[in-house]
Amino acid sequence: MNEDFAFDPKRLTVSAGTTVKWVNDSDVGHTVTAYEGRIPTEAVYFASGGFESERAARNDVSGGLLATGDTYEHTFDVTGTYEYVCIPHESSGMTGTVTVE
Amino acid sequence: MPSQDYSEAAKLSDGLEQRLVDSLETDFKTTRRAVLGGLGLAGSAALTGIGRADNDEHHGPGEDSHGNFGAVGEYTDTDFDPHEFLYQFNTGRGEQENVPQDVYEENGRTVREFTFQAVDTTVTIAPGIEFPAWAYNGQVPGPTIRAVEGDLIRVKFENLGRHAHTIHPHVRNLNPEMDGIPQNGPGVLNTGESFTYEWIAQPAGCHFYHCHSLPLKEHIHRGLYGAIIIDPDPERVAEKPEEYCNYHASQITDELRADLVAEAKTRNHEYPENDAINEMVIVMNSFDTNFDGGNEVYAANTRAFAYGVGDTDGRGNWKAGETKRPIQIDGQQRQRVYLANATEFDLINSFHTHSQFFDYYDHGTTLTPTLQTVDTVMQCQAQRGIIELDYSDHDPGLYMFHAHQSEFAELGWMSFFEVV
Repeated sequence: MNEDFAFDPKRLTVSAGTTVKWVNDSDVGHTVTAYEGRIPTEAVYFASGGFESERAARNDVSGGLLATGDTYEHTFDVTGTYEYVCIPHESSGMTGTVTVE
Repeated sequence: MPSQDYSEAAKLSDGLEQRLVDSLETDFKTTRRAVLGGLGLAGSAALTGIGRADNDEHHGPGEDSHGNFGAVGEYTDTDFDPHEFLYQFNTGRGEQENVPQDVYEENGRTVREFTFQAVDTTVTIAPGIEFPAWAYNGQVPGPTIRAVEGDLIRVKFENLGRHAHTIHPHVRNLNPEMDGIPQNGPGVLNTGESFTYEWIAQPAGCHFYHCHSLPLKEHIHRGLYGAIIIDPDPERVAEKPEEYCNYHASQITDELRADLVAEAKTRNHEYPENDAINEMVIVMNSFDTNFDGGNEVYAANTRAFAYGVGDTDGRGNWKAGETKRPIQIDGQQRQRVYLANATEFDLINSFHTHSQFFDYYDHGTTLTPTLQTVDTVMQCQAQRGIIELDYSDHDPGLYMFHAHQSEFAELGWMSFFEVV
């Protein structure tokens, strides 16, 4: 996360079993929140704050916020495409994709 | 007879919705990049047209698009349901999960406390059409706040969005620091900043709140607005009846006073008399999807045609869609609409009922109607009022209501009550 309102890189390709770590190096709070309908059906839902659904994450935005310097990790075991969003900056274009091969 | 036959109603909904979605796709292709670039939004806003859900490949042999009644497509956004929004009044008792809230006593006054967070989100305004919104608690319109006259409304506001915002209330607020404008109190709140607004709930009525950051027209049309309902206190009405009607204190008879108090009880959610009335919130809004300073989509509560007919066999039998259906009402119950206009760019909006006349209480600040027996009212932006409807002598069926700017109706602000 840099330039304050973007995930960098926006698209990332990794192999199955890889742990991806997001670091907030901007000055504002962000979330890493999977789009529930846009991850492989067998994959476990993920979101900073540990929410089990997108709805729960959206109902408690503060609970998923990463402050400056905070990190969030998720291990991708299932192959496929995962789309995710920063909830408070969705319409500012802060979305990202992880492809697991 | 109902004003619209069921299959005709569905055909109309479908035809208008299809035309709307098609027109937006054209805008999307030709102007989105250039206009958004000019606003400095990095071309990243999520306006996407994906077309209708039931496209031609679903047609059987011999069918053509003219025979294909029913919904163009359902809405897939799970964040906001205009049918739920109609009835969501946040009084501090936890009515909405995305609106942290509490109600408690403090210094002899009831405090209704809400947490509002501004975020940059996307809202679905037509099937497949996402609008890049700025929103309180992720929803457009923002959460409806409901209090009783004399309560303290405390809003703990945190701006998580990219742009600076405020909350400006249309209530009688006595402290300039709580006015929610850039020039007073905390001023605009930048990303990550917080402020707690406190407003005395007065006067009783149907009110409005919105972001007052500049440019104002952009902050409003992006979605930062909502309704504040303040219920009259029947005890106060008994003491000062002249404040709730257009009569001088010397003209108030005992009978009028009793009528005003009785009416106040029907408006106050803490009185059983209020339970007998079906109350709804409708915010008339609009969306400039290509950022050219004019609206392409109009709606009652954000989604074009959300209160239209879902699906039909074309022979008078219809079923509700999952997300698109008329507002079903009990014909024997009194209906009350808290109506507000958030429309930007167009000078006025309006509310018109078919086969029906209603009483209108402008701003909702009186307990006697300001307009009696009318079928159309207009409102400028931020104007609001209460509409009282009685369908008890109407046959069951569909009765249309819509903006009587015909353009607005055909671009989304067209709805039905289904009287049962």
